[in-house]
Amino acid sequence: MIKSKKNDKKSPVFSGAHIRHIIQGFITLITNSYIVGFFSAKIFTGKTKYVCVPGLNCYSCPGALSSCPIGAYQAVVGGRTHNITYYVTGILIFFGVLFGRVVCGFLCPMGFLQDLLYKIPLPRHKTQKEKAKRFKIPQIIDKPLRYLKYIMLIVPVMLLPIIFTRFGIGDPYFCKWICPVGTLEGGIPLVLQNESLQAMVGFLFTWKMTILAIIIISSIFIYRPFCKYICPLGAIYALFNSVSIYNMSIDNASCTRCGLCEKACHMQVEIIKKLRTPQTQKPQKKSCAVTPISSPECIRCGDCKRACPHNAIKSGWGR
Amino acid sequence: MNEKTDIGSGKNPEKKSAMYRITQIALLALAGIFIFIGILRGEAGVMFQKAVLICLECIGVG
Repeated sequence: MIKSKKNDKKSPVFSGAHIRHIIQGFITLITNSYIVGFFSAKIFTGKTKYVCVPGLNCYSCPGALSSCPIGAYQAVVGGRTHNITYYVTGILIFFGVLFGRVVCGFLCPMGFLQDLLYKIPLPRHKTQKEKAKRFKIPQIIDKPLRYLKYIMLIVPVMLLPIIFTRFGIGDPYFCKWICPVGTLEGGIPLVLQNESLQAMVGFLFTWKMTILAIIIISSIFIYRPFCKYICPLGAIYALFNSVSIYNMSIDNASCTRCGLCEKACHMQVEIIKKLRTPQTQKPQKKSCAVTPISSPECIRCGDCKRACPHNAIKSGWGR
Repeated sequence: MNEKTDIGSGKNPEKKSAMYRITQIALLALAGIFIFIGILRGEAGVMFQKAVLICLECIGVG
């Protein structure tokens, strides 16, 4: 029955996945559209830098028009005057309530890069499905590792810039020691063109290039390793996934618990498991109309929705 | 807000969706208040000053 439905469908020129990648590419271009900066090795200094973009996008990228929320958070709390930032927290709550992890799925340049890297075929595993099967991280390792991003948020982003200061100023510890986005978007283009920056290159640059290389290489084998395990911004938006205005849900009456949605999910969200009672492992009564997909790991990419042969998964604004 | 309460809890779905809406509105209001307080405290200026200079730590040479 499932196969016949798939065969009946005519494949459109642009599927939902293509549209998502077009949106990701468009957002990446728009947020980094100060092209002059890439040729002059200078960064944008206009008023739009008073505002943060929703995704992870280094403000030291020569093309960046706005600020990175994680960099901005550390800049304010690490400064002399404030130990807490209402401004950046407010911006993050605003994006979180509006979108939740839609930001990760649609609006983050780093997420887009990892999506593209995962599309690179391997000699023996040409499709993403084969690759996902071959390189699936065991749950015993995967589940605890997912909490690492919350540790990243609390320790290097929130605490270290306040605790370890020099003359009242704290370093942006996450940006300095971990974030690969700054190296990729800012470090490489600026160091390549600026001789004085080239003279300053040392251990830290080598360290950050190593982290960047590890993330790039692992993204070819594993779907979005940075988003799953490291990104503190993803950790913030994950907290809002259960209350965000944009949300996804399963129509209990239409769902047959076939599990195709879970197989299609590269973020390994347990969608069907939530529809069963923990004691009996039997499907819930169909009296509840819908069950929200409020897993903190769901990036709202819509792969499950497209995989469902019964159109049981819905997404949209409001509940 | 977690899934266990959403499934088979027997609560009125209309009440639940009203609760979601109230939570969302309250959080959006809180975001607005935080942004306003942040601007008054000069945080936007601090952020801007940092964002218009090349952050040497961020790019890995600081």
